[in-house]
Amino acid sequence: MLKNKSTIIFFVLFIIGISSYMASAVKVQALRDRLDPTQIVSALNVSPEVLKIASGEFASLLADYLLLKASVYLGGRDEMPEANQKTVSTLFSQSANLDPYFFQTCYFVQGYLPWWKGDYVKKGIEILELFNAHRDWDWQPGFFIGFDYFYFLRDNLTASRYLMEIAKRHEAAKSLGLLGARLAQRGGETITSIAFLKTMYERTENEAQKEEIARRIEALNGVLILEKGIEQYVWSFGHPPETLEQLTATGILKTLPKNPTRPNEAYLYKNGKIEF
Amino acid sequence: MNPIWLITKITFKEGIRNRILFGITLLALLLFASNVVLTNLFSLEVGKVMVDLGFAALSLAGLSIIFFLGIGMLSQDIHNKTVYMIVGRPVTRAQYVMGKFGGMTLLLFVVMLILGFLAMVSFGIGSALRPGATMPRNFSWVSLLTTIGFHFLSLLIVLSVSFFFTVISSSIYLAMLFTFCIYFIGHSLETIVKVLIKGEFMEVSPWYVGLMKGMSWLFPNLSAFDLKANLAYGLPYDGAYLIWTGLYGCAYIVIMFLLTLVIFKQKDLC
Repeated sequence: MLKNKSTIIFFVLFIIGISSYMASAVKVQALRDRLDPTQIVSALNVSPEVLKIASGEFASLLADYLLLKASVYLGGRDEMPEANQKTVSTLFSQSANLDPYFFQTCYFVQGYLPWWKGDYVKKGIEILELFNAHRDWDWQPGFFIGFDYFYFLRDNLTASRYLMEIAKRHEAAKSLGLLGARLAQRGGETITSIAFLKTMYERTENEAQKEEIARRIEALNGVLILEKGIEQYVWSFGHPPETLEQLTATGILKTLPKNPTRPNEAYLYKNGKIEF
Repeated sequence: MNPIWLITKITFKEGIRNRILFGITLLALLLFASNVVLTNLFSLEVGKVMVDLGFAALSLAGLSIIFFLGIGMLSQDIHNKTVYMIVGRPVTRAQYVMGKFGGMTLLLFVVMLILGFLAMVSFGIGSALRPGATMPRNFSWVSLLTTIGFHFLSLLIVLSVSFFFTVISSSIYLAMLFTFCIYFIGHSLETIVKVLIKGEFMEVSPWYVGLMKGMSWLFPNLSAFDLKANLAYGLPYDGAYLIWTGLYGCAYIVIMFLLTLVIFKQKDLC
């Protein structure tokens, strides 16, 4: 009798257990399905150092996971709430600190953070600096930083420093040195540009490249002559000349230097600054 | 036959026959298989992801062997008193421990070799199935073997630590816990000291930094043996670094081993 009773209780409890499990499992599944993984993103609000300590020898694997988490969320979306931008930025920062060599993280950082503008430009540069310091065989992180300074921060001088630095370090990025020199000149550092290009000229073996660098040096020497002329004009008349021809008309320069980089051999003059 | 070699062989065979080894191998195989799937989620430097996954499988397999087989077998011998049957014969306690360590070393070596080969196979399959996937920069077999070799050396350090704690503790679980703590500290202490010295996140007194530096003399710096970044990114291997780190690892193993022998000789097995 007692045995029958316990058997019945067992079966009743078993059936209740199974039914509850099935009902709840279906409900949980339905609720989970509503959550699209690409719509949510989260990051542990801890410093990368703590993650590094906790992950030990699996730090690099954790870096892959964090990057994957960010990239799954980012997908092909263009816009996202500010809070999620912050989370993605944290994930990038953590991943980069755990593995400061992985180019895919570097690429994603450049592809997203600076374009969100505001503080994210500097945050992106801060992360890219990690890659630039570690990937000493690669010119791209330095180029990304230079680009961000030029395009987002409008800081030609700093941009030129990065571009000239990577041109010095990497054979493949020599042509970026020309761009760096141009930005340095725009930033008011013509003498630095000439000095840099002269070093580059001495270090280059390719004849075609040497010829191009020599042309740029000649153009910059012309810029330097014009800048000095403008300086003297300002000193004499209290304002910059409206056109470059005024320099010859007032006798400050005998002739205007020729610009070998342009078909008409003329320099562009805007707002008191020379461009070539 | 030399008793040490005899015990080494017996331990190795015992390990090979153990069912735990099949479980560990299965886990490693699953991780290698995940190489093929997970690498598809990355588009740049896929070789690096393969290295990460491959070495994660090697680490997990090696640590599982140490924790479940190494500590388990030695602990069972001591606590089930089966060690009497061996040390009662013309075999000294030192020879017994040396034999056991040798057997586990051999087992780890063979498993690393097999899993290393399987990791390469999974790299090959992963690369073939994923167009555009290339091997890591400056990849060479020498760099791969060097990285695996140093990984193996770090596992031997953990093994020597596990033997030490198995002999001094009365419980298998305590031995596992202590060994895990040393493994964790070994991989983290260097970062902790660096963070403390930098002082970016917290300000600590100099004596605390000194204490942590002192601890780094006591605990093995296991992160020094991690050369995965060199393999994954084609970074140069510094000869002097390899020699000194190799010597450091061997010296630590010898010291731990000698301490284990001394304690095991004094231990009351009754």
